[in-house]
Amino acid sequence: MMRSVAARRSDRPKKVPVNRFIDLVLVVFLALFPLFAKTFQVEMMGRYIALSIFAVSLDLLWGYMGLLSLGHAVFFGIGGYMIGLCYQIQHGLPSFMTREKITQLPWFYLPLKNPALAVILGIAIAALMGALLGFFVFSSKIKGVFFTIITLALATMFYQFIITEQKYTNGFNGLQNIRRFAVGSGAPLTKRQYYYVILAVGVAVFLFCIWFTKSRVGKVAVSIRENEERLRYFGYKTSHYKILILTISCAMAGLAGALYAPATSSITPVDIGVSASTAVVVWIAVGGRGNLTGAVIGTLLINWAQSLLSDKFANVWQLILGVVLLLIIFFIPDGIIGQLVKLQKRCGKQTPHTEKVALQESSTAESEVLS
Amino acid sequence: MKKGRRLIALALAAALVAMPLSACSDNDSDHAGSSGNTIKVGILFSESGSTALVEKTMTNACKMAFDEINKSGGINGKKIEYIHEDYASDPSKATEKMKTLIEEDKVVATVGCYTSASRQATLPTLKEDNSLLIYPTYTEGEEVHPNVIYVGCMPNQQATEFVPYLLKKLGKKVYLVGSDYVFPKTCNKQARALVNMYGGSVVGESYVPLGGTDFSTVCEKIKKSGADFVYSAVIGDSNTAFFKAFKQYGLDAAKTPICSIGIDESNLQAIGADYAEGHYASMPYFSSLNTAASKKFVQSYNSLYKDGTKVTVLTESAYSSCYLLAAALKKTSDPSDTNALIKSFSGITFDAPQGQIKVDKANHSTWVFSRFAKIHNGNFDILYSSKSAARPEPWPSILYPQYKSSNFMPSWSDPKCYPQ
Amino acid sequence: MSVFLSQLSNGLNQSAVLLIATLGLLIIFGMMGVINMAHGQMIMIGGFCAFIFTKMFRAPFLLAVLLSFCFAAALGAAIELTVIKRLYEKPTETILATYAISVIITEGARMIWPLSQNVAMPLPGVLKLGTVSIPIYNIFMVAMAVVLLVMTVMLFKKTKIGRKISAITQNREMTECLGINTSAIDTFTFSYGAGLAGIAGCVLAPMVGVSYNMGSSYLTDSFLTVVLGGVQSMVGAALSSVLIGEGRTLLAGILNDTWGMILVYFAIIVLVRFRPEGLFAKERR
Repeated sequence: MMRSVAARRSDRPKKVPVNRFIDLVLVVFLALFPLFAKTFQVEMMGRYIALSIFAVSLDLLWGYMGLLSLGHAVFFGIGGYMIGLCYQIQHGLPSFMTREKITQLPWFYLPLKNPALAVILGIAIAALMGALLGFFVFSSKIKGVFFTIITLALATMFYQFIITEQKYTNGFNGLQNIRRFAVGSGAPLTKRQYYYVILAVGVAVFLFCIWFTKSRVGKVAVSIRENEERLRYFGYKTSHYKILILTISCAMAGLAGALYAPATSSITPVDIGVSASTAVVVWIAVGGRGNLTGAVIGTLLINWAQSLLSDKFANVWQLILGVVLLLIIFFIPDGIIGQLVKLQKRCGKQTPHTEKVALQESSTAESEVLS
Repeated sequence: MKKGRRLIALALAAALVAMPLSACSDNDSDHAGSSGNTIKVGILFSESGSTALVEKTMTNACKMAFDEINKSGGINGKKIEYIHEDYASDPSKATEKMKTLIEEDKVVATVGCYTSASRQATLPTLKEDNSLLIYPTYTEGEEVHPNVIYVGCMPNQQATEFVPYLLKKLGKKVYLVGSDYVFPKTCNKQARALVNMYGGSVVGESYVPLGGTDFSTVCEKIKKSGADFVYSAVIGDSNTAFFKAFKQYGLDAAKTPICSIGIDESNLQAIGADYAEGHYASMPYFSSLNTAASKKFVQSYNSLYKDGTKVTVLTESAYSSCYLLAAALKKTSDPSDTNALIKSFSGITFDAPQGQIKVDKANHSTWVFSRFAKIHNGNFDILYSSKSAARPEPWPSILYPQYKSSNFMPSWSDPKCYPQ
Repeated sequence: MSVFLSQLSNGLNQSAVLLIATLGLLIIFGMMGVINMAHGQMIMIGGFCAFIFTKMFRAPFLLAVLLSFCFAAALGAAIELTVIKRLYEKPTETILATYAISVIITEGARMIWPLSQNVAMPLPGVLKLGTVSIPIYNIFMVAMAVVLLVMTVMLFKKTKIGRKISAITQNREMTECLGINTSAIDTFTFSYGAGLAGIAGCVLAPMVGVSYNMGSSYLTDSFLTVVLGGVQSMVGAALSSVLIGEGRTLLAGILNDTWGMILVYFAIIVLVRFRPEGLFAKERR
């Protein structure tokens, strides 16, 4: 990552936006974090990185393509539940099944016995559901707001489904004792090892997203957000692009869920419903959408703040969060990182050379797609 | 300009570093939970989110109990220092906060958790860090964890005497209702077995979504079934809609009363006196209990907290949990030795507002009273109190005769005992 | 048969509940295009008005209904003037802002009334028609739904301000050119929608009690009703609430309430896929 940044700097010195520096600092910081932090802080940071991956996956959909999902936690939950079920069925039938008088493990749970397969299935099913949803929604010119409402309904449905099918899912109580990828009876990864696993996957996903958003498909996504009609005139099948990006985003959310569940050792319906989905939207809004870094920073910032401050302000914490969100919408609508990028651009406009770059940058998305 | 950019990045990085570090520096100096003259204990209840309204009264009760204990001399000369964490009704937050309490604040034990989901979510942490949770809520059983002491009642303590009484007094045909999740389903399974054992018959069973408010279908089904009474494990605010719809649809408390194991004084207020009249409830404790200990408890709670909360069975149970913990701590020489602390819980007693309760010698659950009441004028009129505390059966003997010899539980190493 | 009939009548009641809860959103979301995440909280405000006025001031129930309309409308106007007005043309920001408002209102209410409260049933009693028994209050709910619907339709069709609102919905710039103060009309429309949500809370309160999180469960329901009926069609909303209410109750009779809800939601999503403009929209857009 360092090299790619350096290389690009030499090509076009003024093009690198400020958030890439922040990414770099952040990665170094996170890599060194376990060296000076306590184990339980490492564990929490690991969990927040997993949530950051989730946030980035939604940022791809919302920040870049302009489609707000209020049910993205469903896909996160699919990943988490797959790995969760995997560890529930390691010792034969879990108690929530025997309680409901199930005597044999249902066939569709057999592949989940292997943790690696469970993770893959979690990602695949999330992606498949995303693709189906996309195919369903986007092939009939449903507008953006309708997509939001349909995802809202999806989250409510999935939440109720998990609760009511408790003989298969343990209902409201959720799944516990999810181990950090222990194979067979072997010892699970230590908390620090697992932290680095999450971090490595997180960095890989993040680099993929940077590449993806710079790629042609990523540019199409931005153009869809800006002006879908125009793009369609030029002969683009925008629905195909939308389905593709939704699928990728859902797969990433599934991956995030599969990483998150072992980090907390539990996954419950609370993690998959509407409130979980809105929470991640708020993190992205605070961090700034459409630049990936904002999603990560927002997630880490709010979760740490909540963890450190909420015992002092327990009673008013939600209230504070609501007010902060309102203030952000009014005063820095681009979010923290978005505002920084904007400031940088404004600074850049002082010299004629950078003005050109800034102009160029603002119109890159569309022009590069259309060229 | 380049400088500005770097400055911004640096500032942000600094802020990020500073945040967890500031947490590090908080409590680095003291390592044992009993450093100096205090013993640290945790209180883990939600202050926000969907179950906050129930948990607020439990937090209050804990604070009140620990303050009282400190006022009367503390634990062997040491004061209790309690640390309250809020898990916002979210089980995965409960895990996180439990970790904070154990690893950061170094508490010797925690009183907390309301929902089964939040308790179960904290179990792996409790085991890994070998800490102790005192769980005050009434619970569905079928789980005993070595690091948890269950103070709330088990379904058998609510049902074993309640069901035969109802069958004898009200009739043989029973309709089972519940909210759609684990607790009601498990309780109703046991109720069904009891009904069959005493010669009654279950004429129907229905579940409504958790927090649901449409009971029209259920009421129609009850009416059609011709049940003599309704055995209800509907939990929380849904009760308001249920009791109101019940009367609205022409069902009569005098003919077909609801016999609930899930309502307390706070639900009663929301239902209203006229709609609750004539129905039954079973709980180990009602705030209307007419004993000196109970009256004193209700009075001191109400004089301390004027935040709109009410004394319920949960308040009493949280309060007793703290006193049981204090008694166990008095018995151990080194409070930070979790294993010794857990051992000292066995057989420990406390003269609670409900009467003398006792932690079972083997199965980590508590002997509590069995009481039932008929609702009259917006109050619970207690019909029956067991003479002494009833035995807790995490795996009730009526459903699991195989565990009777081993104190109603599988062996500790059995995955059925707790998720391992 | 009697079971089917009583389920049908219960379904009608459910439909009425749904329609009353939806009407406010139909105005705010359907007419103005604002995704109002605080809709449930406006319902809650109405519920607390019912509690305050009937319990504390012992006002008659119908007066409480009127007052809850006024209070919720005032709150709606305040929200529109301070927040929403600056965010038109920015749908996502509106979602976020109304979500923030919903959190603030919920938390505020929780601090004042941590426990749920009781509102006395104004019309107790049952009407028995053969084997089917219908609570009197259900009949009141259905009547209320019809009255509110007719009132709203009249407001939009017959009054000057209503026609202005319709004009704005169809072509904002053009209406502005005609010298109509669109800004004031926006405020009016929003606060009228909020007021309707307040009435919903007030009439629901005697059935379900009042608590700080009473409104949240109506949010998804209301949105789906509006979407199914077609965003600008009031008759559509009425028909779709009947469809959803009956569908759900009949399914609940066969399966259970949860599956009834899941299947109906699923059916709506499928239907909207094939008729994105809603089932009962007058013309294809």
